[in-house]
Amino acid sequence: MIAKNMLMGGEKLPMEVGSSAAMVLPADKAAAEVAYQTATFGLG
Amino acid sequence: MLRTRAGYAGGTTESPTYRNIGDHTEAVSIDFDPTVVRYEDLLERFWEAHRCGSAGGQGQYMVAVFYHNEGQRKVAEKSRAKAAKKEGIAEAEVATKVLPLGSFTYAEAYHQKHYLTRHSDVREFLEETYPTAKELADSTVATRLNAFLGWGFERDGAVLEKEIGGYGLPEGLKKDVLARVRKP
Repeated sequence: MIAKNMLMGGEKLPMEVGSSAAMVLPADKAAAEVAYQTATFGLG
Repeated sequence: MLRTRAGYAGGTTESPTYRNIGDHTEAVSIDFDPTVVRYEDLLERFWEAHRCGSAGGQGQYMVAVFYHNEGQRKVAEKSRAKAAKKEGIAEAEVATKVLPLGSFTYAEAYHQKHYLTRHSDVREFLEETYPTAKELADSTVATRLNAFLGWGFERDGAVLEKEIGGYGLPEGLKKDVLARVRKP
């Protein structure tokens, strides 16, 4: 199941509000409408 | 947290992967609602979680703040000064890097939502709902289930009980998840 979801070549992180790719489950739809900021860390 | 994703950042290599990470390092991207939690709060947790005088790492396993814009840079650098003071070292001795993000590339699906690999029924439902790795990585439901099932019920059980009804899980799976996290 996991193997079929391999990202081929990688995809860049979207930086715009409302750009989530997950839009089927109700909680995901609601979360996609929330204005957000993104933080990124390298954790070692 | 709205969404978390594993990926590669900080380098210039095109289309990095786990086996060909180039000059990038492994990184986590966190989408958060700034009306609920501040960037400063996330930075505070980050600095608390490691010894900034010696834990810089390098290459694939760098410890770093990757700022997205000028505002984040200023806040991150201020937090670095505070961490150095707390550690009792000069800011110049801080090994942890504060760097511009550049780009962030999603890691492969098997690196996303790690704790769900121990809960195949939950993962299978989510993968049927979200057939691509990008969708799965972006799912708030997957992010939160990964956190709850990974860290255990005792940490945020009341929160899970309150919000799981809105996830859209099949009734049987919802009951199973609650029973699993309630298990001591």
